[in-house]
Amino acid sequence: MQRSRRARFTVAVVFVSLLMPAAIHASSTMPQPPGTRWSAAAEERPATDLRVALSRLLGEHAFLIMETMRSSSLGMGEQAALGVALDDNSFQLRDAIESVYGETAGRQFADLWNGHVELLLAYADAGRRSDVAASNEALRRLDRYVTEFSAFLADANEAFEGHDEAAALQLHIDQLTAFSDGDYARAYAAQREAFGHMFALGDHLALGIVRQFPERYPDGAVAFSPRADLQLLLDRLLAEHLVLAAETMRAGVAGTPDFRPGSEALAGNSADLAGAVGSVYGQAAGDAFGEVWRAHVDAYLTFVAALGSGDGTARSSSLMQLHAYHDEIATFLAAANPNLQKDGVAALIRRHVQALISQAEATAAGDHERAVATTREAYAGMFEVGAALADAIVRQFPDRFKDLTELPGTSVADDAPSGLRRAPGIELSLILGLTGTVICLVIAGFLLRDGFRRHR
Amino acid sequence: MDSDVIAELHADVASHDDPPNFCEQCGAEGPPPSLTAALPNVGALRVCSSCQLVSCSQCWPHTLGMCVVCTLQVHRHAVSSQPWRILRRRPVLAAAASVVVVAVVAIAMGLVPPGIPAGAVGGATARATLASPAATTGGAATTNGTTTPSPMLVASPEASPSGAGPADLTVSNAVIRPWVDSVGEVRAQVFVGVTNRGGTAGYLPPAETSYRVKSPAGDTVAQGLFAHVFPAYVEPGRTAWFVDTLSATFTDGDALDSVDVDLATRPPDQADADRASSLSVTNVDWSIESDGTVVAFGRTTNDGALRVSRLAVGVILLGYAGEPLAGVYDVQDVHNLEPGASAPFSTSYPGSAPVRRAAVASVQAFAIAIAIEG
Repeated sequence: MQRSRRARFTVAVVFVSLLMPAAIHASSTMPQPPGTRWSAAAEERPATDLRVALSRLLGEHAFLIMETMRSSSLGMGEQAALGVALDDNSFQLRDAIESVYGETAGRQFADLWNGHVELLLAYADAGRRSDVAASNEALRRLDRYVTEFSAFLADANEAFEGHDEAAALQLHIDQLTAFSDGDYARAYAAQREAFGHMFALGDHLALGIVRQFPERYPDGAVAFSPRADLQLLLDRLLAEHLVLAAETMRAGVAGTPDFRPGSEALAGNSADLAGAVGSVYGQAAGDAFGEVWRAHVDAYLTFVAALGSGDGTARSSSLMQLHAYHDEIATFLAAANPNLQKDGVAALIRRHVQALISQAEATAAGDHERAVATTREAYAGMFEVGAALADAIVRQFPDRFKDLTELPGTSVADDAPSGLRRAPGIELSLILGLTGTVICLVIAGFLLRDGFRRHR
Repeated sequence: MDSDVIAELHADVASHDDPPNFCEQCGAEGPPPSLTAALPNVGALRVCSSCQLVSCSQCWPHTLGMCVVCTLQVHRHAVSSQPWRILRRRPVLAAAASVVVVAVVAIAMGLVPPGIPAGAVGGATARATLASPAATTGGAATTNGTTTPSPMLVASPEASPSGAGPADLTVSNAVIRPWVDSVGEVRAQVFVGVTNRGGTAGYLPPAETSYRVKSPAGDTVAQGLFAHVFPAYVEPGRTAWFVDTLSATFTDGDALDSVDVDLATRPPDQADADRASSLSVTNVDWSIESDGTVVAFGRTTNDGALRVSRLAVGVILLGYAGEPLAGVYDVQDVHNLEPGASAPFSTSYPGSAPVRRAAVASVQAFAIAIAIEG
């Protein structure tokens, strides 16, 4: 089994390598020291930075609020550490709003935002106490919050719509309810949806802001171009991998029943990542990547299980597997893309795995402050990885990930980056071609029918 | 958020039952008992009359009947009261002191590594009882041990605060100590010491200071965020310690060369100051396991007026140049620790590099209230 997987991996690497034009290799690329951001990320791109920052903060909010609500409803120990992190995330969001709309708006946002966090936690606490009246009161006030928040957004920018936030709140509550009911599969499904939704919300806000202040964000078209879409897709999938790994680890160390559903959610994320790789490099490469990636996840979950059970031998062997797999992932990516140096990629993956291990050991020791801090830092690190990979891919396939010349007119929220979808021009020519073919076939049919009639 | 109490405790080595048959300064083995019986002055080990530290002839200054450390202690006291006169009268002492000063400076400059090899430190479990009274910030720390004068060089000197100016928190020490654990994994403990050279207290918010471990070539090979700092509220002239341990570095120990720090500070608010003296650490003790790693234990007492529900207690072992050797801490849910009540701790978390007992000059213990009720 092992040999077969490795053989397929090798074949895929060779296959992908053969696809690489030598010219690209020749033009490639400055070696980038590990730990530094890649060239595209270092450019002045305020609109792209805004889009990434809002998505990152809102995605982190989704993770932290849901973890805090879960901890609160179950009366678990990490609530205080999560609460501190949630406060910090809210401060950062307020700063982001304040930087665009000024101090007064920042204050108004903070009041509303902190209020909704408190209401969600009150809802979770009421659930823990089985206090139906308090639950209903929290829900009633959350309804009012949605109205007020929508008004705040509309006041700031006519293009903003409040229903996105209402949908996000509903997903938070769905997830908590599912968790309380012991329906962990549904809880993780709601979480995955909410996490993706927050990225869409970040896009929506960023697009509105960029349209509103074009002088301050002159790179608006670039921020919503296929290359930025690719970066955001990778950011989202890698960041989701991190938070799902953290939650599954927490369940594994504590021995709670949500370990398996968490592992399955993690597998779903791995499949999405493999799909993203496949959409760039072809399905065979995507499948091969998925296999190596899943092996790295499996090794980590084995490590977590060993930590939970105190099995030193299993811990040791899973660490050895992690050693091997992060090297394999780096080998794979460096072979697939000549703009990526194996050592640089290995350094990024290594730091990610170091963080996974540190957070697991901190959780096992009851050091929730360290576990949460490590998770947050690793979460931010995934955006560096996403930016680095996206930049390398864009430089490899510049025609597929061109910058737009003007801002898109509609919502940019979509699962697939536009560079990975058919370009509008291609779509139009396909439709025209098909239409022409159908017309030709109909005409030919008529002609043939007339010919047959005449022949008879 | 935090309330910090510092208890600086010196390692008391006066509790040996049988003196070891090796030099606790340099590790050299002593002569076999048969040789000692026949030729008592050949290669014999000497026991310090002050701290009972065992030294070989190379590490024995032949002056005051004390080990080199206590000699320096006496010398330093004498110099501070009568500068230069004692040196003129005692050239041997001056020479010995000079040698020690040069050695300490060499260690501080990294010319002589403080001596934590990769792998286990072999030998017996060493153990030291902490005895001297605490040097405190906040004035609340005490120990229940005996209160003999410190027999050891004080390894955590206070910086001279610059009058009544604002807090000036600067990195005074950034150290990485790699080792290979029992399953062959290269691990590393990272320390960053931050000294307040200003005139008022400063604050180090937890989980905001990050670090990057660099290879000799300058590449980042590991990074992290310090979730804990001991203490967060830093009085003028005092040093706080950030501690973190990388459980798996996935690299060779040689690749872990230096530490870059991105320090986050802020002025303390009234709550930080009010809560700075609510906990103290007592009965601090530590031992070295068979693999050389440190276990620390003791009690944390709530000296404040409010109940504490969660706390962190950290123990830092320092060498003779004030360099950090090992740090362990315990984060506990203490379930509403009432004012006046105490709770025990015992921890080897998050893991520390192997330490030679003789290399430890002093120990600092800190307790921080993470969550206070009311």
